[in-house]
Amino acid sequence: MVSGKQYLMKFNRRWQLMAYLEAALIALGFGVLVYFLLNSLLSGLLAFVVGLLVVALIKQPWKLNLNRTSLYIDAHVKEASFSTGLLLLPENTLSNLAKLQRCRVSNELKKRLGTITPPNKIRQAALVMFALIAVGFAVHKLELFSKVDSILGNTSTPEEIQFVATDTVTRQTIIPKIIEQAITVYYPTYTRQGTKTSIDPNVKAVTNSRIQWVLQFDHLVSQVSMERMGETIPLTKVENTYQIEVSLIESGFYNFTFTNEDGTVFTSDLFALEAIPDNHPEVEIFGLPQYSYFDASDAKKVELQSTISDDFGISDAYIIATVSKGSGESVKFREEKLKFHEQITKGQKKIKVTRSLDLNILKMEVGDELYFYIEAFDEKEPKHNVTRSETYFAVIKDTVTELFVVEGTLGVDQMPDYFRSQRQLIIDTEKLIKDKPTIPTKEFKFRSNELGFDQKALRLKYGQFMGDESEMEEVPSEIITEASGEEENHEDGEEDLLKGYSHDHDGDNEHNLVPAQKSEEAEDPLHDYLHNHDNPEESTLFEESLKTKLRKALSIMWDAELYLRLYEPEKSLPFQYDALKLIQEIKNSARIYVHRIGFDPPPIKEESRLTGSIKDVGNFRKNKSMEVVQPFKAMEDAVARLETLISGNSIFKEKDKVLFTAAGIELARLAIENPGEYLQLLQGLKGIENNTQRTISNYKFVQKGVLSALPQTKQLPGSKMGYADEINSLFLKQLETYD
Amino acid sequence: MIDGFSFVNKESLLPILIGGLIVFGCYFWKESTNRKHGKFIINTIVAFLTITALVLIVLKPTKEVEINDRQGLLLTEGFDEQQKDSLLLRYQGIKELNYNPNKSIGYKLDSLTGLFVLGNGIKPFDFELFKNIPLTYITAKEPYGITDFRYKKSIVLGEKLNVKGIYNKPLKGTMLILEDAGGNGLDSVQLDRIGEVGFSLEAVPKVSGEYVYLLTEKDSVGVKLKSEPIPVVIKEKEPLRVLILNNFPTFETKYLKNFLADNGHEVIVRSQLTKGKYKFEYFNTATTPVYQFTDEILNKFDIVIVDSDIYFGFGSMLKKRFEKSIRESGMGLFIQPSGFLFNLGTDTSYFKFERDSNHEVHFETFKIKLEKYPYGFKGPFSFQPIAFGTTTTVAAYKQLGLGRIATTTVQNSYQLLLDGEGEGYKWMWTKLFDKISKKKNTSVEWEAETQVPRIDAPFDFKLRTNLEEYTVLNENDDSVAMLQNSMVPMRYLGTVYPKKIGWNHLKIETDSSSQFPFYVFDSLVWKSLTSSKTIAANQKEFKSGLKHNRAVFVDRSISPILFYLLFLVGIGWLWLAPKLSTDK
Repeated sequence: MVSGKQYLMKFNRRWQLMAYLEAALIALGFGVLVYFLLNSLLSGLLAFVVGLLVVALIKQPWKLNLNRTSLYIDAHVKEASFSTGLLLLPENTLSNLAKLQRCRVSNELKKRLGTITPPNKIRQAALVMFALIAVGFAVHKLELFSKVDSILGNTSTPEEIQFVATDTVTRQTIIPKIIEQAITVYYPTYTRQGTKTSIDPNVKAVTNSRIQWVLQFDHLVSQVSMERMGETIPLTKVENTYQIEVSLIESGFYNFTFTNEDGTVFTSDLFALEAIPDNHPEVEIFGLPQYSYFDASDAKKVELQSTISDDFGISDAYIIATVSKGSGESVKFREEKLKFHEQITKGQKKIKVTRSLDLNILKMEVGDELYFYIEAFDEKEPKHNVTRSETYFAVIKDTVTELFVVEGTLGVDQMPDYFRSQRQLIIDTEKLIKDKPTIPTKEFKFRSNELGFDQKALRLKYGQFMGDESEMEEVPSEIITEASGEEENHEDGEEDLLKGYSHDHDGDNEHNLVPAQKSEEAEDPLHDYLHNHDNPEESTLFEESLKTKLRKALSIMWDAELYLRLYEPEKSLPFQYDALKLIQEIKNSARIYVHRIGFDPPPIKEESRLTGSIKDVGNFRKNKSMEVVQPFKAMEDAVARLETLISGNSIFKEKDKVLFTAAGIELARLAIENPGEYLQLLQGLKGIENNTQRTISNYKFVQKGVLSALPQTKQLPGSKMGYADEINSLFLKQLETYD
Repeated sequence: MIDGFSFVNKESLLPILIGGLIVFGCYFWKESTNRKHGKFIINTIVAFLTITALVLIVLKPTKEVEINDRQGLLLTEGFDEQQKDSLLLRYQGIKELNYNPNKSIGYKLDSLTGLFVLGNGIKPFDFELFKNIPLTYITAKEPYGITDFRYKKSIVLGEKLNVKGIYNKPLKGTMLILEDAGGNGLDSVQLDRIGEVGFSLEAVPKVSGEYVYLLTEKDSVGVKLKSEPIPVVIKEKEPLRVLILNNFPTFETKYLKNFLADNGHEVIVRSQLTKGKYKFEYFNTATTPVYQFTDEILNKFDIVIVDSDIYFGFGSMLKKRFEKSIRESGMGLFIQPSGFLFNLGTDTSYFKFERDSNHEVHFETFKIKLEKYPYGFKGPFSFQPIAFGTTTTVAAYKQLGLGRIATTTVQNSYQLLLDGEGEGYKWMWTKLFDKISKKKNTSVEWEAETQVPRIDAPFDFKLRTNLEEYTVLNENDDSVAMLQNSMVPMRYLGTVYPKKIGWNHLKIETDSSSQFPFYVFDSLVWKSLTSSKTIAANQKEFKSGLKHNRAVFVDRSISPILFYLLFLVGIGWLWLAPKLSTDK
């Protein structure tokens, strides 16, 4: 009988449907709960679907088949007499009795099945749903979750610029909010950082970056401006956003202000603008001692290894090597710029460079020294940052000098000079006379002759000034050869390096008393001074007396030389003294000559001179008012004011606002160096100023901060207050009487 | 009452007497109506005696007796239980009293012949109450913590705030930190020794005003134990009025005048150009040339700086005038040294010098050195040194009346400025000028007598003024009665009872500038200091040693039994007498 089975199937479908309904109810409750908690429809829907699937999986309504239905009906419907199973079997397989029973059951079921309901928990499910919805609603209403959120820091991020009305009375009005804020930092091109957009109003960027703020408000606002270190810059309105672009030169603070439709002024917190300076490149040299010494026979190679790094990229780097030749006064320098073996590509942040310096290639010889350092540039604009490494030294040891040092007890002046001065000659001659008994005759004669030669050289030198042409061409070249014996192997173009540094000590012009070029122009030093008369006697270089003096000195030098050559230094000495005296006089007259040029005294009125009349001399008066600079006056006053506010003896008055504004500006000036340190303090001050934080705890915080930020008190004199007590005065008087 | 008799219920004497008389009157009237019995007179006498006895029972008569063995034990804050117990054991029947400075105790003391005081002692303002009783003070143990503490309560800006004290029995590693009003640490010291440890902390305040600095105590791991307030009044210095007189312009004067003028002082420089002709420079002041040195002109200046050639070239009249001005107005005179000064006699130059051949002086504080004249100050009593932290005295002053004359052996101090030691230069001259500058006159001087003022406790202060009539007003603008010193009429004493914690002010009604701020402490702070001070005051007041008991006269009530008996007998007689007579 088909109809019986149909009844069963109908019942089964009802049962399944109810199970699904149960699942749906629970899932709906869960979905609504999630919607309330997260405040998002999407997550609510998602939760519903997930809930539905989970509950359905647990209930598994699809597993409710006819067998289970028949078992249920057998158990619950008495009239079915445990025979519903017959309805499911094909009719032809049944016995007659079974067919009869089946027909009976079928008829019974037709009557009964309408009355019984499949087992379900719809009511419980509905209850669960309502409970979940109620919980969600309660949480939503009480905003429990948002508190948790804010603790976790997930709510409106601190990055969002919040505004507070400066006037507390009109708090009720709508506070326009920023619905979109974008802060774009345009880094300088050389940094290759491009642009960065963020919403964090505390901006940190490389110096010289440009920063753009774009703000969009949800309500109509006006007079949007940025306050930055005491200056107010208005924002420009572009469509419905406000924009401003500022170059970041130095660190500082800023905040935004605007006026809403009601004319209430709103202000934001203070935010830091931090300018990060572009660091200088860093140069590191490894494995090289500061001083390297080489023997003449060594390989004489310096292996230089270095790492150069920069925060944004290196633009160039090279080695500056300076070779110094000779020693003492004849030292010469030659500077060379050497490239590394590696090619330096611009913009690399870190490079490893090497270079081997072969001292031979640098044409260094025994006794020469090499100084070198690395110079690295970054790409900063407009001016590159330069870093120099430490200077390293490489020296080729000079065995000769070392020997000399060891036997340092020898005479004072070992090194033959261009020529000795007259004074030196006298000293040497006296020494020679003193040494005479102790040294062999040959040595004595040799030295006496040498001194004679030096005397000659000196005479010829002075002869130049007299225009003694005959010997001039010949002798100076001799002297130079002698000198160049010292400084071996001059290289072309190197000679002049010394000029700027050297100081001619041994010449007769030690203190540059006479213009130097006289002696240097070997060819015709007198050219500029002569009237080209050819006759030396006619020259007007010196005054007449001076010329005679020099002439006299030269002839005395002749005599001195003569006796030296004759190995009679004793006889030579008086002449040398005479010569020295004369030369000294000549020098002095030259000095006077120089002085005469420098001073131009005003003409003296002979008629009023020494009369003692001061008739026209008047008193002189000068009046000046100095403004005492007190850069932290407002901060000091603010501390004092805060003390009374903290003690509760006074309340905040409107005029205090001016004081705290001024203190804020002073502090900001102080804070530029390290804005991070003072940001909170400045915000606290701002809070007092704009009436958003006028609390005792904030007063205390600000006072503490300002006190520690203030510089040390300067030591300045001043008068104190005091009471002049009569008794004390009497006492002092008595004391003085018995003093 | 009469001859040492008195009554306990003295106050109800009259009504009781009247009541007695009425009762007696009634009896007399009743008896007199039937005086047929012969015992009327006897009865009346008996009745009178009976009623008198009754009256006396109610009045409780006392008799004054002399006793000398009634001891008291006064327990004050911080007393030692053991001491108390042993005293109770030693003196049976000793009367135990608790001391509370806010409650009256006087009447309890009257009957005591002697008193032991245990603990920190009686508050000094209560000493008067115990004047008449032989008192033995048994000292308490010195409290832990800060037991002595000194600092200058009023300083000028730029001056160091130096707090010194003694800490009794610190725990090892205890730190003391001097903090400013905001709580920034300024100076600290760790107490590592045991026993009584002295400490000294200092800092230069940064701002002027009335501030409460803090002395914070931390243990060795940095946990804050407590903070004691240190109220300080920091005043600003007033600009100086300076006159500089020079024979000819010098670098020393040039830099000195720039230093003074740049800092807002009023400076007039007069340097001579030629005979009778001067160069006047005026900084921050009106152009008023100074030719004559009259008293009026000189008194305008706080400091006169003059080179020795000019000053000692003055005639004696002129010099007298300068000295008068120094003596009377308190003007400071600084003599710029020159070789001339050191060769003058003592009578003329105010100072004695002796050659010391030192041409250089080192200032330890700033690690600087300066040239000096090869002379030193001679004689320990002829001058007051101005300390610069040098081994020898290079600057000194001499008191002349109210004013001071100073000079130095340092020369070319401007060299410091050229060497970039500007701070050293400022420090040196500030020190010197602060020593000699004239004090701006105030009409009153206040001084606190009570070191640690507390709320509702007397705060004694001294006042010195030459004002004839004035009124001192307290915080609530109520006038305060002042007690004039009978010997020195310009000295006064006053007492107020502050009502609020924190800064309180006293002021002169007519003079708003002369305010006297004082800080009233909470009862919880500076406890060890107060205890230690009280102990010291008690020790001083009640010198140690046992005291002989005083004799006190005590009204001892006469035993009422006699009166009861009398009453009983009297009543019995009066009851029995009529019966006996009727029987007859």
